[in-house]
Amino acid sequence: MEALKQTRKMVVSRFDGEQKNFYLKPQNEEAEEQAVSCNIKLQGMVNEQPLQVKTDFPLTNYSVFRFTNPYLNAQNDLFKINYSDKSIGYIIPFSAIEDNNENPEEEFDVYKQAYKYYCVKSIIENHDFDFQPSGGPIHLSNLVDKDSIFVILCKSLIGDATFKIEDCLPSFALRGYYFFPGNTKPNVLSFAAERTTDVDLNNLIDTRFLANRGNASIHIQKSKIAIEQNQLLYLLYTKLLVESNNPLHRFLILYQVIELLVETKIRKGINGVCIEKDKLNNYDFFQKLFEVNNTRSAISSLFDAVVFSEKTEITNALKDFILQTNANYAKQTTGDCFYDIRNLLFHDFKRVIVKKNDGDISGLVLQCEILIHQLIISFIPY
Amino acid sequence: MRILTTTLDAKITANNHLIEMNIGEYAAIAKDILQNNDLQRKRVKTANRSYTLLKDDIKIGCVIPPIVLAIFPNEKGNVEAFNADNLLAKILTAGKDLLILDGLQRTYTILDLLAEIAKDNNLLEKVKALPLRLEVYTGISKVGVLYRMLTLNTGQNPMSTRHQVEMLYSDYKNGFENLVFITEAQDKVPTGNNEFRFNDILDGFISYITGDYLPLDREDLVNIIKNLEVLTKDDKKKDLFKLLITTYNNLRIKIVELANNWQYEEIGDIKKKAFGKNINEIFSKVQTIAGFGAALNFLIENGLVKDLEAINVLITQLNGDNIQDALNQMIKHLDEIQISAKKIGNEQRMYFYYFNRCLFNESNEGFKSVEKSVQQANKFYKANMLG
Repeated sequence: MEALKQTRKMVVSRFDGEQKNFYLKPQNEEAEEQAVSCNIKLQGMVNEQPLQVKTDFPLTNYSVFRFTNPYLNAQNDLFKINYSDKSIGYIIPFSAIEDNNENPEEEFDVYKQAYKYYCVKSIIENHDFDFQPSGGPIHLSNLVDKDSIFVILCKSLIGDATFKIEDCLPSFALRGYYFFPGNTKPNVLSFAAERTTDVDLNNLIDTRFLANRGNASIHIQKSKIAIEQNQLLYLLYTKLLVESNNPLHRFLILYQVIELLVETKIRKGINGVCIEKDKLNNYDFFQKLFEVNNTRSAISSLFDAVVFSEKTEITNALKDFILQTNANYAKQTTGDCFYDIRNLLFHDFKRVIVKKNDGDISGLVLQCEILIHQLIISFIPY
Repeated sequence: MRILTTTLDAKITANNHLIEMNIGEYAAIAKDILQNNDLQRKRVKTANRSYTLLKDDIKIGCVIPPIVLAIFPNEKGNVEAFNADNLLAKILTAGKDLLILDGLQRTYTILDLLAEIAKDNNLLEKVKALPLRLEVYTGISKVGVLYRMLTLNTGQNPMSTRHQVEMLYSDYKNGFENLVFITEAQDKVPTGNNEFRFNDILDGFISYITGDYLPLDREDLVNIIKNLEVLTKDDKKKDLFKLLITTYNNLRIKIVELANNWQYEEIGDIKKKAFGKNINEIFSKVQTIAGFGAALNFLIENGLVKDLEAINVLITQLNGDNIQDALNQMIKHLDEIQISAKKIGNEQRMYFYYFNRCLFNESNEGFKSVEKSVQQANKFYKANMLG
């Protein structure tokens, strides 16, 4: 039987700006035993004044999380993170961590460089190193999946004791950022891999995701549901969405959110009817119970309560999709269209294939996904 | 200090002198080397426990395996003749000409130990008096130095192709003829008008040798030795270096002439800072140089162009129809790469690789036309990015 490889954690003892090496030592020991090379600039000139990144803050001042994004994954897709109208951190693609020797005249940004520094430090100190150190420095890229995008938050800037990254995952996902924990595979990266051949999907990606490239920051917000406390939503945002690349499977798991919220909605309705029951005759009582237990109207009321800028456009896109299979379709509301898309995909997929030979519903599912994220952000569970 | 034996190393046609001296004498020589020889590999401090053990062993008086030095050929590539009479005197004062081929970590360990025990006079004197054997190569060529460095250090991180090239062409570091090279220490932005960064020029040459426009980050030993073989086919390769860089400069001069004072004007059609505002600025960038080097390798290796001389002839025949519009287009293409590339520099290198491949390939639409090569470069770049 093969022996388990022994690993250990190391801490950064110092960074050598000239050799661009982080020197590491085992916890509670003095001797440096390993080096990790990373070309990161910690000093530069701004308005002819020299500035230096402070490297002596404790790493506990920061929280670092790993994401991935099938769309916003260019070296220049660096964004500040805004929360409650305050800048609280940075989104840094792995490809942007190292500084570009090819553009040496690029302006020095001491805050951005500080975030990069603490991000790298966190990556290193959370890595499992072999017990036997390698001969020379190892490059940072040996420790990280190249598709990683790091979110680094400065805790003291958040100013909200109830803040949890999990509750912000739907708003990250709205921009294509999927939480990418260590035990997951980022299959979502291939979800839109064939998009170059699909003009509509391409346009959708441009409008919904790549349009952010003109902005300096990405705004995030908390969902009203506590994601961490809901097993389904937690699994959705920490595993299922990052691992699923098949549109039908993706729709199936997204639809489970509707099932979950509809159940909550119907339960609330039943409770409301029960409170009123003494004022109702038996016929009205059962009639009202029947009304609140209607799935279609429950879904419609879920979406009626959600307001966001893309809602009409996405509803029209869903309707257009149904019209391709049913020219007489006349329903208008988001909930109706969503429910009928569900019926079409789950019960009559052959009609989709007749209209779209390859059965590719990537664009449709992407639109539905945006609706679901918006729903989770806005849904009030009580 | 004394010479024990002198043996000919027939593989590299150099003399290997086995010399015995004491640790104190070697420490003085080593400090001189480390302070004065720019070519000496820098210390990679990874605090291997075995060096801590070695320090303790030296205090007891262990035998240290021989350290290997070489007297590096002087700037003209001449190899001085040494004998028992003048060698020892030379070693004592030759810091900038001496190179530690094997034993750099042992050397640092010795220096660290001497610093640590500096206050303990008895121990210091005891350690300094301990015998140490050195092997010193004389009459060695630059290529010989590289070969021995690689073969002596096979168990460690091998010296990269880049370091080899730096050594071989170190005497060009300030330029040649009318070309001026800026070294890292000078920390100056080159104009591109006969002025380039030496490191960028080396990148371009390495791209020419390897046919790869990407920077050499991590290489395996097999590749490094393969590249060394390319470099060492004959010592006239040095002329190749000059010829390649001169060819690149000729292309710059020709495009400057065709472009008729073209300057990129900011009219809001790009989102980032322009890659370059004039030809010289564009040509001063490593992306342009590396793309050029790799493209020429492709063209010559595939028999599409005979050699660098033929490229020089083609340069004189380039046509500049609509060149100003084409150059504006080039800046837009490079801007788009800056926005959407996963690795901006690498993808810009790829763009210039295709630009030069099209410009000098007779069977390509862009042949001898800057305008069409700009279009083709973008087309090939995009096709490549789609996989």
